[in-house]
Amino acid sequence: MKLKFDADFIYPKLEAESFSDAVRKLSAKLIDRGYVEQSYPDKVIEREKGFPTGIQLFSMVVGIPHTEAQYVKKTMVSVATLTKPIKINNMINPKESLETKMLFMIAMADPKGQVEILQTLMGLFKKTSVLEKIASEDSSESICKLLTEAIS
Amino acid sequence: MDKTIKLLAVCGSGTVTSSMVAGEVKDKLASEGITVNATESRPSEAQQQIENGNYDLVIFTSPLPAGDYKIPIINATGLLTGMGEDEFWEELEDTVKKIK
Repeated sequence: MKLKFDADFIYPKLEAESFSDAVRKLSAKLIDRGYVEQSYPDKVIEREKGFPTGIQLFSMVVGIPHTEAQYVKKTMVSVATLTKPIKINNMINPKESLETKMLFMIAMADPKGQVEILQTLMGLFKKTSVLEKIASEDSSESICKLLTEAIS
Repeated sequence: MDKTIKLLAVCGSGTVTSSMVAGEVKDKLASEGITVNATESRPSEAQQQIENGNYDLVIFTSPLPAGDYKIPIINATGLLTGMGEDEFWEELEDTVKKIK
């Protein structure tokens, strides 16, 4: 199974007060459309406290909130760029507070069976210029197009 | 050269990020004729698994609890961020060479 972005789950210039707020906003449609369980946002937020998902890339910090597959019914990677930075802690140094304006929320129904999706996403994080373009885009369709081109 | 490495990949949830990095290591070593049997784990369970599991090598993206681990442990976050990625592969290659 290949990674496929969906403009319906891409949120340019999202207004969010905090990490939790952003996760809840990104989760609403996933719950509505049957991608994740009702408890998914709570589980993501809870997990983040112990095991943060901020990663420092070359030119920016991205957050990759996620949780265990048991709360996920169908795989989807939601993407958000934020109007203002939110606090997120560093995955590799959990006590370090970072700020991010970009989230890739990974809902994986079968992480071991879908490693290709994860590897593709990892490759994307190394394409700095694509991430920078996405950060300044206003439409979910253009972001979807940029992401899709970048991974094909 | 037929060689099999027993790998423990550790991340916060024991699923997503560990599967990512384990997948990368599997692919890379497969191209050198080395088979990787990977198990995904989370930090709270890793110590026990390392003690009982007969693993050759641990890679992690979430810090492991302090402990006296008897096997090589490599920080794999470079695979996620691109920073320190070359160093990761060098360390991995060196470590794998030493594993019988």
